[in-house]
Amino acid sequence: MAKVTRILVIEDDPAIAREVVAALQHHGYGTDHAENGAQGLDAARSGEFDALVVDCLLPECDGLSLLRRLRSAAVRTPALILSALGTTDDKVSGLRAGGDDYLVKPFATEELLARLEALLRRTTANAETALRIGTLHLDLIERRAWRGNRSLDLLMREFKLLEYMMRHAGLVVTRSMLLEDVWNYRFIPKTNLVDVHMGRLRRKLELGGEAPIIESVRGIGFVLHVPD
Amino acid sequence: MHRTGFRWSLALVTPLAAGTLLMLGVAYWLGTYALHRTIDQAVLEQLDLLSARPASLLPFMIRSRMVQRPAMVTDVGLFTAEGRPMVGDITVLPRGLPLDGKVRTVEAAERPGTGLLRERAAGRILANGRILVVARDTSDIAALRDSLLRGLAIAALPAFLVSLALAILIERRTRRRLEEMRRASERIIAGALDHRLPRRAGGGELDELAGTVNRILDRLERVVRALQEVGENIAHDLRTPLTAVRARLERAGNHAETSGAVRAITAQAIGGVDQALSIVSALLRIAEMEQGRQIAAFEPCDLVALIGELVGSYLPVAEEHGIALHTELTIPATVAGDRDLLIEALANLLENCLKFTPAGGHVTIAIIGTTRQPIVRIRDTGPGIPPARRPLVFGRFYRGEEKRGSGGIGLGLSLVAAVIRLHGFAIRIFDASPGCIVELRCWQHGLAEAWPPPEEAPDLAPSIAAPEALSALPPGGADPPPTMHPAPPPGR
Repeated sequence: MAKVTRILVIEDDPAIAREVVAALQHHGYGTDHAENGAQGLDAARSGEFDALVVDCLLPECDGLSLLRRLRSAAVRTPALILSALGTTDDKVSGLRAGGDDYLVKPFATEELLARLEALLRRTTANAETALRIGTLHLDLIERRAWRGNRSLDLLMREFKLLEYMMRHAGLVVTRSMLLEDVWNYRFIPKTNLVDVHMGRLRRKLELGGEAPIIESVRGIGFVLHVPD
Repeated sequence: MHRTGFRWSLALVTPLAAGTLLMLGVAYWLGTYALHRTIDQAVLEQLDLLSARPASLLPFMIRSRMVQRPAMVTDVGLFTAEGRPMVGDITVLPRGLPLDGKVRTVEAAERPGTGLLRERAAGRILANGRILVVARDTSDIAALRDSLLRGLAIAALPAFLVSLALAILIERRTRRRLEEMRRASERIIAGALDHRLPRRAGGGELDELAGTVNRILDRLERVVRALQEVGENIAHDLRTPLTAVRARLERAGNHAETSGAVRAITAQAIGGVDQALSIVSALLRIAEMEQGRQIAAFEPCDLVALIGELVGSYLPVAEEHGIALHTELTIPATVAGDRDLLIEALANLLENCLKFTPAGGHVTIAIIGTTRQPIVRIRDTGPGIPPARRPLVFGRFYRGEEKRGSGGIGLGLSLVAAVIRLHGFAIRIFDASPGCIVELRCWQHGLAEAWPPPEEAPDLAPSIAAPEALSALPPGGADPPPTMHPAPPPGR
């Protein structure tokens, strides 16, 4: 039996902590909860967790200095920072302090789960020159793509989109993850920007009559299926 | 209040009274001492002059003086050692005059035709034992002094009284004006925001002050009205989704039979809550920007690359809407700014164009102006914005009236305005007949050293708030502004 993935939730607000812990357990994670920074730091130092969910504002030791101390103690456990509403400049300092991703409250549970999955999957070395999933093949140096033998005529943005989907193959990717990581946008457009681009990419992927490989996940985002 | 007024007029009248008193004092001093000194000198001179003459010639000289009398101002008398008069106008030796050659005031004996006189006189015993007396009548000086004092009293007293009356009048008038202003202020404090301080024709400092205060009040009223409107709009925009959420949850609780139905309703409810939350978070972001907290994150931003990238992203969206999206990016332009916020603002403007331009239309983004002061110009072929509404669209929660209730949240453009304010840029809306031109005036990176940039920069509110500023300014482009559309199309 596979080892249970363990996540430490460091959050002082009992209502939010309860919901986050419940959602994580529902999705099969093992969880621990720390109510303040000092507790959280002690627990995280043990190194027995696969990921951390850290609230920015914590009693005793705030989330950012907690992360800073963890990182300086060479604890590299991936961390997702939760922050209060409307403090955008916290994002930069959060990532600088050693956070790996950043989520502003209030958030959808699916968004948290998707980002956590992506964090857990994250590989440190991105030095590949090619990506291959099923019949999909990406040449990262020449910036060319094939599905089977068919060469795909992709625009720059579509190529980046496909690359991101392939790197997160099998994972649900949310629109805001795509906006942040593929577009580098820090806002939610009022138009269906992501869907339009994704739609074009999918049409190009299925132009030769192939089976759909990227699917929409209703209300959340998209997933690129890994063929069995 | 009354005491202050009284003090005020007292302060005005006191120096006047002091001045009058001083003048009287000078006149008295002049009449009493200053002229006496001159007289005393003349008396002494004559005494010295005559006593230096040979004793045998003296009676003759005195007699010849008497002949020339009209030319002489001093009287002279020569007496024997026993005090009997020998020659001269003075026939009686002044009583009690010490014969030591010093000038003194004496009661002179009467002379023919005159009464008792006051004189300044000096006497001396000559070498042969005779007594020489020289005297000068001071009654004319006293008369001069008296008439001077009388004249001053006649002239100064009425002047004093008139100025006192004037001072009281002015003081009462001022007090009345101040009282009016105070009452008006009380009304304004009590909430009558449309009330103004009274002004009178004829100007004056108080009127100028009232005018300035009234202008402040105009501005405040606008701000407060805008805030009230914002409050109402926030309440409205939050209530709409929350009411729907409530209804849905109620339905789920009462009628949903299957868990699938509950799930569907819950998903809808979450959508409504998300909509409400997005309003709150947009408001917080605007508030954050308006506090100017993000200037630290400014860096050089290449507008050409930034817009090129943005248009690349939105090209497919435009195509879906059947709109042709063009760019004219020939002028190199780098501005100091927060890249993320600039992208968001431009994306917002672009999305707005895409939303309102009908299929078959065109949207063009160009960089015009100069590298030093680049202008981003977005032109569409949509319905345009009537001039009267232009100042409003950047306010919070504005949206075309016909759009109200359609679910669009009117925060986008006010967020744009906040970003622009933060950067010290300016934004203007023009008519493109048909369509609309939005111009974003920026500053080259490096010019920002004297941050914030000159004049219009720190406070964008007036240029946004004042409609005349919007219509008066010509577009900064190479091509002249299209003239006003004859019949403004319906607003956004």
